[in-house]
Amino acid sequence: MTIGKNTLRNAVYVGIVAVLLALMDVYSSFDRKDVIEDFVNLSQLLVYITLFVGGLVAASGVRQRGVASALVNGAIGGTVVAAMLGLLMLFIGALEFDTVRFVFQNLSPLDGSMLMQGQEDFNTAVVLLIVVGAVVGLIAGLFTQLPNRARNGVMGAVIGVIIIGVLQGQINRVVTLGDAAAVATAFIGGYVLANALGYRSSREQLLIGVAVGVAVALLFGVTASMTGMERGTILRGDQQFAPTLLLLPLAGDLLSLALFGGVLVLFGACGAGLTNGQKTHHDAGWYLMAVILSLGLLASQRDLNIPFAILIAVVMGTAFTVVPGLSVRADSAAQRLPRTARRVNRSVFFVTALLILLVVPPFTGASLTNTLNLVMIYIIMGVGMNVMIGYAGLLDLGYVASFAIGAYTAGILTAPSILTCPGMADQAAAFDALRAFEDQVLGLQQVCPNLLTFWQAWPIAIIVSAITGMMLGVPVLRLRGDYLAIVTLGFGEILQRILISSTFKPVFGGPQGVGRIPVPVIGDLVLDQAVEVYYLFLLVVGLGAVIVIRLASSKVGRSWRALRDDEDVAEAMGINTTVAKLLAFGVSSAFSGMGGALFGASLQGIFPNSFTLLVSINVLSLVILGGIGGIAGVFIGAFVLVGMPEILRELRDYRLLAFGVLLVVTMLLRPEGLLPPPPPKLSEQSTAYRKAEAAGD
Amino acid sequence: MTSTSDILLDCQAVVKRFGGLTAVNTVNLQVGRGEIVSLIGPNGAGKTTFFNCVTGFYVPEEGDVVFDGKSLKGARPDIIARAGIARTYQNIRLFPKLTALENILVGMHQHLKANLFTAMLGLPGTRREEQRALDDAMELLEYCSLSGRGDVLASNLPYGYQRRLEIARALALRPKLLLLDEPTAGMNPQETDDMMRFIRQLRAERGLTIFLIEHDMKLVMGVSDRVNVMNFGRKIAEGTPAQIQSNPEVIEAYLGSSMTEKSGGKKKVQNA
Repeated sequence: MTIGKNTLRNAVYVGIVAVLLALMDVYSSFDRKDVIEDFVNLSQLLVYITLFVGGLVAASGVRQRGVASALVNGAIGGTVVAAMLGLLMLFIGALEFDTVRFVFQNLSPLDGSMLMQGQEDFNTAVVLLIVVGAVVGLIAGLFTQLPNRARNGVMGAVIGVIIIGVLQGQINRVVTLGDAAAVATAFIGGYVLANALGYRSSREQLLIGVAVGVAVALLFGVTASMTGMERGTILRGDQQFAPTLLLLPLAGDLLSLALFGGVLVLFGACGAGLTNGQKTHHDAGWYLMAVILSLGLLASQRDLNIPFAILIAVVMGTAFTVVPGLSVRADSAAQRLPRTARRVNRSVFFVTALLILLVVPPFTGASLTNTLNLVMIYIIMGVGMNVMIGYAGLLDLGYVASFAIGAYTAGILTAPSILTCPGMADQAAAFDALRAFEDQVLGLQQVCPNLLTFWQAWPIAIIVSAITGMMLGVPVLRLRGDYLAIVTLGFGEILQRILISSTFKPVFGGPQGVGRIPVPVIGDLVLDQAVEVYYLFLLVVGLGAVIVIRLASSKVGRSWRALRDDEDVAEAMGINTTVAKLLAFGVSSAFSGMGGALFGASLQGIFPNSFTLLVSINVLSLVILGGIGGIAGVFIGAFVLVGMPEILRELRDYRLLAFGVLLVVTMLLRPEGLLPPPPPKLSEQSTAYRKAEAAGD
Repeated sequence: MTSTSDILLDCQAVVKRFGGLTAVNTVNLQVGRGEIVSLIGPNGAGKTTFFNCVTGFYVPEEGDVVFDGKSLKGARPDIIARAGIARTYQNIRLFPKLTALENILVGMHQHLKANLFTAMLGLPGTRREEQRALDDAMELLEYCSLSGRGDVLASNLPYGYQRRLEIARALALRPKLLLLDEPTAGMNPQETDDMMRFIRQLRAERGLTIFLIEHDMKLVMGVSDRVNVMNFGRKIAEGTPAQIQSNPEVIEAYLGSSMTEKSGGKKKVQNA
């Protein structure tokens, strides 16, 4: 048994961070947020996590020295962190509270519950804290000694339960247990059966999946209509919530039945196809199933309680233990597949993914859909930013400028303003004139005859953003890296000052921005609901992704990447670097402007305060976090960086802190980002390869 | 070299200065169509600077570079590349994060007609063109003995492969003149022999004119029709390999530098 050289030092480091967090009152501001009902709330959880990290850091130094050393070092680590926190409590307790409060304004009134919930007495709390620290540290030490697989499983189970527990308010009603069970049964059934029968042709494999899907549909359809499972009522007892898949067979019409069967068949086929699917697809499919099942389990209860937390832990833990092994097998099978079969597999996967995206909003409800919409806006911007930083290697910190230009262009052209309403001094005057009319729509046409619809203004906004982007590109052509970043940063700031300034108030509306921007209208359909906007965004994101993927694999995209890798050589290869750079500026600004116009129209108003440097930095971070240069990475990055903080409303005050921690940890663990794009396998697209493959079949 | 129409590259009194240093001092140099011409000289003689003047990376202060009857003076590197001059680099400069095939495809840039909009729309013409380019790139890959390495990132290729990939990328430009800057740097004798054969093959099969900088005297004397020698920015000699080997000024240039800097040059001349 040895005590590691760095055990104490590392534990003290963690302890210092913990003390700082405690002084920011992180540990007691979430005590009303239950993670698991009547068992642990978020504040307690944060204390445990800190102690665990202390133990982990201490024990990982002696990981090779056997169980006893790991346990002892872990316990030391946990105890040290706990002791430091305890000392802090005693120290603060000894001072006048107001003195401390003067510096650390977030601190809440002090008692023992600052760190140990429910313990009013200081001394008891400190003792308890240290005991808990030692125990948690022991557990952390034990954790380091687990074999890899088990560690993944435990990690997956715990993190899964924590995330679901924290988010339960938002995600409790996403999917009913019945639906989750049906979908998961079809998926797992398809997978297991296809695996058991071994690999045949991809067509036979799909047939297996379809058969399983039909069988599951029959099974669940009949059971559901006989038992009342369809109301989403199993275990929860009272409330029913629509929509659920299992309600469909009861509707009695053919369309509903087909839809119900279709969804399950698709999941069955997906499961069967993934037995020899690519690693990323395979894993995504399985983890999605685990999440759906967990959400179903959560939804069967009003709040997450201990038995169901354990069930969810089992589901997630099993997934994280089993899937990596399966994944290796599936991936090696995928490598042996002929190209066409791989294509079929991929398309099944994409159709499923698209279908899930399409049906999400009715399941998640308006507030989550609003969050999704924000994520979509950031995805659009991220896709454009990716062209700049990922392909062309140009660091643009004024990216928000083209977003603002798009938003304002579309806003000014579609809302009543000095430009569209002749004779008006500014937007306020236009509104005053409007008041005279009973019918606002008719009045608007009278007062402002030059107003454009969203669909007319949108392309103009995109073109204006692209052109201004290129114009910004001209003076900075010679600049690279940091210099370019500084200049573009300045441009973004200047633009915001102009938008906010009183000089241009008649046009840009000053600090009030532009109001009364009409929402997009298609025929009689007014897109003013979050769900409707979601579909518009989804379409735009899809189109944008297709365009960028095409560009990336074309002559234009290659010239960008060549430029990024070595500008001089790119030029020596016959690439006009000026044109290539300006194209990158233009394309990325066009995307940003496209998103900006949508943003303004969906919010029905824009304010200069929405266009801060933080937006640029957010977009840049999500591109880097997701994995520079890939489209899938932008999606993941946007969901994590934009979606998560929106969902974690309670974290609002500490949002930037969490944001920074997340970025640092990701960059340390995965410097390439969460989902870096693999190099393209171009040789498989060559005629020679295809011929050889055709001859081999 | 007989009539002017046979001259592909004609450098007339090229001067390039860096501050007080005259790196290339009034160099006159011709490369005839279909010739293999070498440029040798001790380290720091200004050979690579001269290459950079030809390819437009540097703009010479004085003199003119005439290629295929047209002056290239002051032209941007991409214009010069389009005119038909391709090059490789002394210290390999591939696009490290692009695959081997993508590197070659970048070389084809000027021969592809696609633009932003046809690429965005994925028009059938653009797709066909892209497919042809890919097939051509596969052929070049095979031609340079790189088969099976097409999807490897350039930075992950072994050194010898990187050298060949650089040549494959230059060939993708379908140049009239190929500039090779120390093509055998860091190669063992066997690889050097292969490279020598490959250079001859390039001229024989592709009708290329080749202008190369090289330190390996065996290769220089083995492949060159004519050899030019530079020292301290000036061209000090020109002639057939046999003439150069017996030129007293050249021997002195190498011997002189060997006393103060390096003994490699002396040995090489004597061995050759």
